[in-house]
Amino acid sequence: MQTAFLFREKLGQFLAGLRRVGTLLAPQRRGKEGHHAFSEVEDPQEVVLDYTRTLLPLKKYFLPPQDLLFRFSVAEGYQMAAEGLAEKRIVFGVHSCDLRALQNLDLVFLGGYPDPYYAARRENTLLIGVSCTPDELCFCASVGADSVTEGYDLFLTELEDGYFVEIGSSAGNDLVQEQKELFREVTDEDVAAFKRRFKARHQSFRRHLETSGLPRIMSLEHASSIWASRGEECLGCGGCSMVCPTCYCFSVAEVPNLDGQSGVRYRQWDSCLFKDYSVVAGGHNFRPQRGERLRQRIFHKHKDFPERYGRSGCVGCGRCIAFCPAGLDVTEIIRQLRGEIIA
Amino acid sequence: MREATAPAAAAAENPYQPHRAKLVKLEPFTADTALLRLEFLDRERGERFTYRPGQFIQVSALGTGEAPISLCSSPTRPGYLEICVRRVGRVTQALHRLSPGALVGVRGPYGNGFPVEKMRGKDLLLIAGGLGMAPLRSLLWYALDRRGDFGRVTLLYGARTPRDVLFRGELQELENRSDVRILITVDRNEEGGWPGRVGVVTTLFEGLEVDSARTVAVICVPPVAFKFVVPKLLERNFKGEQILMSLERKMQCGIGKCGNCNVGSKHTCLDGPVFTYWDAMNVPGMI
Repeated sequence: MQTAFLFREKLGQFLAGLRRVGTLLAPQRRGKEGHHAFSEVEDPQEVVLDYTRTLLPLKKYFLPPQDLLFRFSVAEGYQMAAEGLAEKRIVFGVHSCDLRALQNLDLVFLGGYPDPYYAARRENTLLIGVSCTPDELCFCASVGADSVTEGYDLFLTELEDGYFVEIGSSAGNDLVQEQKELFREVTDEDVAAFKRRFKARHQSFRRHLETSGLPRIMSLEHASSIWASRGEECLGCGGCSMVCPTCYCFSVAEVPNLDGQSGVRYRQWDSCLFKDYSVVAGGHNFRPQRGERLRQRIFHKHKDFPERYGRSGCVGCGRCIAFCPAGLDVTEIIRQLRGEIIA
Repeated sequence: MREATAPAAAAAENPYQPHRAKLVKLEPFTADTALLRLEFLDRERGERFTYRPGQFIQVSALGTGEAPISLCSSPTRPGYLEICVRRVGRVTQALHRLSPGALVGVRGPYGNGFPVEKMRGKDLLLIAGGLGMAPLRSLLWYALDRRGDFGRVTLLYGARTPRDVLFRGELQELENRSDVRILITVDRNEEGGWPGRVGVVTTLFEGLEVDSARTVAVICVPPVAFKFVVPKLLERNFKGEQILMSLERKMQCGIGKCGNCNVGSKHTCLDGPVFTYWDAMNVPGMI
């Protein structure tokens, strides 16, 4: 593991330097309620490192909410829309849960038939992680997403007088070398401080999701009445999918121009909570009940994705709990399924 | 400053790219269903395109979008692709409005298709309901064109009314062949004139001789009909893995990304659309 130490007072300079490499995206304050959002950095002073969670996760940069796939015309057929895919970007300030989530998306979008839109954006985007302090909704430690050892170019852990920097890639190393006057070598004392910080963080988790044997228990509770009753509370708004860093479902839309000869095909975020998600032409709905749709989402995260890809489909970021207008809490629903609490 | 690299995946083919194909024939079967024959404009692509019975393609009608449609032609008859299209949505309506010579987009083939290698030497019992006849027509012709590879071949086919019987001409011709059993029934015969059986597809099981020990059953029926057909096979001692089912699901991408066709940990587009009854027993909601 290559490491370096970034002086606290040099952070602004480092960020300014990153802007010379490509478009710099980082968490910044949005609105008045203390919300944060990843957005383009104009002024490095605006970058916030001690945020809890952004409303939208990083997927918006790799699978945009609306993603132009093709332009078509009667004369040319469907032509791939490739603009913007080669843009060089650096996302700074990513929490480990969100890094972990991108690895999940990689499994889907880079595996099998690689998705060229996602692949190009992924290849041209550098990721700089930053350590965080869990709040009462975070349960990343329960699903193995509290700490990542890959999937970043640099990872910064805040210590007293600066940042302990883990270098995760050759490109990350280049970023350090290009501004090496802002860094010094890591000392034994830094390592000791890093370990203290890591331990303190690990002990600060307040929320836990028991995942042992979870796919088996869910399998046995597929027909549980819990789904129908919790489905009654769900509004079917799909908000949980929109804010989820590992939800990737999309639908495809084709919009003709007024000339009737040309137009565009794009994809947009979809959600298995939407009533028409499983409706086939002719009108048959494979999941007509809200409870079935809620079950589909939770099954996909905690049983189906793990079975298919060998890792949790949830990274414990807490967004679906934080932003559900009906107050549904996946950790509570799973405790209910396990028989640990009675609704 | 690092150079932005050219997207590596752009060098490979974009899996979402529809390829131009010409509609060479449109044969109306019923009031809402027609047979479309397609040929790739790029001859080489047409020659490279190989598939298995039971696979599907994504068909684009310019300006309306894309729909997953089972191939109903057989790979034993190369040079063209055939699809049987019912007019039920935007894309299929647009396809029905096309005239021969029009261009559509095609990508694929997708899905696992029927495991024809494993089915070799076996008797085939094909059970089709409605539009489910389309993928089974591919398998039927495949088996008949490689007649020596299979034992007894039987088709049980149920349509709503005599007017809804798809491939009626060619199925009637096949009735005269001694090496295949074709049994067709219609749910209703209100207008009369149907000389054959009347009743739902399961009535064709009455008096049907089947040696379940050496038979693979293949079901392709509307979603609601599985629960009536499967018991007919179970009571004839078919095992879970001897029953194959081709499923319908909503699909957007066809390549395991969009999520719409997920059932349990399976993607209907990649792992299906052909599943065994054993799969269905273990994945609630599959049928």
